[in-house]
Amino acid sequence: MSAKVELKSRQDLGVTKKTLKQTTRDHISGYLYISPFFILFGIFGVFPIIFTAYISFHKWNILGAKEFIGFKNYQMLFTDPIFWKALGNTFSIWIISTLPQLFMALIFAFILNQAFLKGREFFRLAVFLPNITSVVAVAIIFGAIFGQQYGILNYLLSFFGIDPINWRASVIGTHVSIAAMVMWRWTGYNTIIYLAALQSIPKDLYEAATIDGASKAQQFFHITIPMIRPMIIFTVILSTIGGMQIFAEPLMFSGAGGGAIKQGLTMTLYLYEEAFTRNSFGYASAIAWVLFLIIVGFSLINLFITKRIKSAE
Amino acid sequence: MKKFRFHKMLLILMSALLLFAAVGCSGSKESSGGTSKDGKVKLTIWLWPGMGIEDQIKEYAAENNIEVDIQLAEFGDVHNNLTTALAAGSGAPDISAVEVKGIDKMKGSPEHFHNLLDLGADEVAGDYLDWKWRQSMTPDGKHLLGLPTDIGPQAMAYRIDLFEEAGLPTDREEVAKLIQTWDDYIKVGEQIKAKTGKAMIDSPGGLYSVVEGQGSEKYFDKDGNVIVKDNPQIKKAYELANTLIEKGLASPFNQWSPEWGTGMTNGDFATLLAPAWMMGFMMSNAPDAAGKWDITLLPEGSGNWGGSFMTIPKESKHPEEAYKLIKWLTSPEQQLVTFQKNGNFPSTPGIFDSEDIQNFTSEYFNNAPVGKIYAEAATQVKEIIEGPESIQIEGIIGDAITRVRDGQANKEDSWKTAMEQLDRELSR
Repeated sequence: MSAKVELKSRQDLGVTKKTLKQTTRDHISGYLYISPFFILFGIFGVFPIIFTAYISFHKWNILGAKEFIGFKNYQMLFTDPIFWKALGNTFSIWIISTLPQLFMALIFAFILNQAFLKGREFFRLAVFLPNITSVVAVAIIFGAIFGQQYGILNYLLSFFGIDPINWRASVIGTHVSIAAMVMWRWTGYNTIIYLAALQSIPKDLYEAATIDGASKAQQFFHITIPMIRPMIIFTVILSTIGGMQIFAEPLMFSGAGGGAIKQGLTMTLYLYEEAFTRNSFGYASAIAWVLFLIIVGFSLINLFITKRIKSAE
Repeated sequence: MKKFRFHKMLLILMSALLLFAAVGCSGSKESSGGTSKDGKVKLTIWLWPGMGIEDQIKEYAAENNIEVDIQLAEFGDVHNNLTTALAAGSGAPDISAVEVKGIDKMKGSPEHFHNLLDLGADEVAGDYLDWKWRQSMTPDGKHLLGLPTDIGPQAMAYRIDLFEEAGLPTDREEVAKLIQTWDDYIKVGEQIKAKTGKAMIDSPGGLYSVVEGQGSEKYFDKDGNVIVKDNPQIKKAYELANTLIEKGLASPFNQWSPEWGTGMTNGDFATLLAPAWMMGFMMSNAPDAAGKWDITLLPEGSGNWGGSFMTIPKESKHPEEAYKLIKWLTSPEQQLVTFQKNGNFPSTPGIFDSEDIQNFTSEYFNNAPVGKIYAEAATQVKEIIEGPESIQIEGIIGDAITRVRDGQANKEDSWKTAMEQLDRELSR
C-alpha cells in the first residue's frame, strides 16, 4: 500500500510544485514531523518552568490572589537555615547512596558476566527486580527494618552486643536508612547498564591478558573499568539527577517535615512541604528554581569532566 | 482531494491525535457536573479511606434516582488535589470531604465554594454543635463552606493489664477518679513505670496537643494575633510533656509508625489519648489487643482533635442536588449510622442523649460504653480559634518535644529553636 502511495505522490509532484517549492515543503513537513515532541514539551516542560519562575516573584497561596514581592522569596531562601540543611541532607544522602551503589553494581555486573556462572538469566532478572517495586512499599518495609524497638536490624545488631540505635532520630541514621532504600532499588538497574557495557568489550582483550598471566582483579581494573568509562559517566549523571530529586523515600521515612531536627528533609521534600503543607507556592517556586539551577550546574560539571575524559583517550 | 497527499493527511491526523491525547488527559478526567446517559444527575464525590460513609451515599443515590461516582484518595491527597483543582478552575468534584485543618486554609478563599447558607443551610444550623458549625464559616459569618460530619472529642484509652499489674484499679469509673488532674496522671505513670517498666503514654506530643486544647485559647487570640509565647496553657502543655520525658514515662514510638501499632498490641504504653475516630484505627491496627484496652474520661476536661466537613466546590453544576445529599448525609440520623458502624462521633448534640448512643458499647474496649463516654467528652469541648497556620505551629512545637525525647536538645534550647522557626515562618 505504501508503495502505491509513494508512486501516486511522485506523480502528484508536478501539480503541487506550482504552489510550493520542494525545499520549502521539505522544511514544512520536517517541522511537522518533529512538532508533536515540541508541542508536548512546550506544554509540559517549558511552560511550567517559566510559570514557576513567574510565581517565584510572588506571594501566593494558590487559592487567593498573587502579590508581587520581587526577589524577597530568594532573599529569604538564602538566609533560611532549613534550606541549607535540606541542601546538605540531599548531598549527604546522594553521596552515601551513589558511591557504594555504583561500585556494587560494577562488581555484580562483572560477576554476572562471568562464563562460569550458571542460571545467569535468573540472576539478571533477580538483580533488576527491586527496581520495579513500588517505592512506597519499599519505604514501609525499610521503615520497619530500621525501627528502634521492633526493627529487625537492631535485633540482628543486638547479637553483636550493640544497643538499639534510634535510626529515625539521628541525622546519620536517617541518611543511612534512606540511602539503603535508594541502593536497594537502583543497584540492579545500574548493574544491567554495566552488564550491557561489559558484553560489548572484545573477548580477545581478556584472552590476551590471561595469556600474559594477569589475575582477574588486574583484568577488572585495567581492562574492564577503562573500557566502560562512558557508561560509568552516564550512570553517575543519572544518579546525580535522581539523587538531587530524592523525595518519596524521605517523605515516607521521616514524614513531610523531615523530622524534628530536619534530619530527613531533602530539597524536593522541602519544596513539597512549602507548597502543599504551608501553601506558600511562591516560596516553593523559588526553591524549585534554585534546585533547577543546581542541577544545571551539576550537569555542566559532568559535561566538562566527560569532555576531559574523552579527550584524554 | 486527490491532490492532498495521503502521507500529509496522515501526518496531520497523527499530530492532531497526539495533541488531542495530550489535552484529552485533562478533558477525560472532567469530574464535576455532568449527566449520565439515562438523564440522571451524576455527582462526583471525593473521600478518603476510612470515613465509612460510602454505603450510605450509595443508598441515598439509589433511593433518589441519582448517580454517584465516589473517588477515594489518601487523606493528604484529597486536600492537595482539591486545592490544585480549585486553583486550576477545573477538575474539582461536586462534593468533597475536607478536614478541619483544610477548612481553615480554604476559609481564606471562600469564593471557590458554594455558600451553603444560600442553599438553605440556616435551617439545619441548630442541629450541630456551635463551635463545629463556626469552624467552616468565614469570620464575618456570611459564607458557610461545609456541613459538619464527625467531631473528635478526646478520651483516654488505657491498658487494663498494665493497670492491674501495677496494683491500680482497673474499673473505668475508678480510673477516672484516680486520675483527675495531670499531676495525678504523672503519679500513676510513675507507679506503672516502677511496677511494670512500661511507659505511661505512647507519645509526649499527643499529651501536648490534648493539654493545649483544654485551654480557652490556643495559638491565636480573637483578633488574630499570635499568642504562642504568652499563652500559659501552651507553656503548661509543653512543661507537662517534658516532665513525662524526664521521668521516662513516654514511649519512643512515633505516632502512625508501624512500631506504634506493635506497641499498641504488645502494651508498651499504658495510655493512649484517643479521639473518637481513633477507636476504628486501634481496632484495625492492633486487632490482637481486643479486650485489653478500656476507655475513660480525660483529666481536666476534653478537647477536640480533627473532624471533617462536606463541601460543594463552586464548579459543581448541581449544587442543589449535592446539597440535598450532604444535608441528608450529615443529618443526626445518618451520623448515628456512621458512628455505630465506624466509631466517628456525631457533631449533632441532639442525639447525644439518645439510647442509641448512651447504650452503645464496644467489645474491643472491654465493653466500655464508648457512646456515653464520648458524648460526655463532646460536651466538655470548648470552642477554640484554630487560625490558618495552626498545622504549622503544631508541627513546630511537636518537633520541639520530639527533639527533647530523642535527646537532641534540652527543653529550653528546643523551645528557643522552635520559636525562632515560628517567627521566620510567620513572617513569610
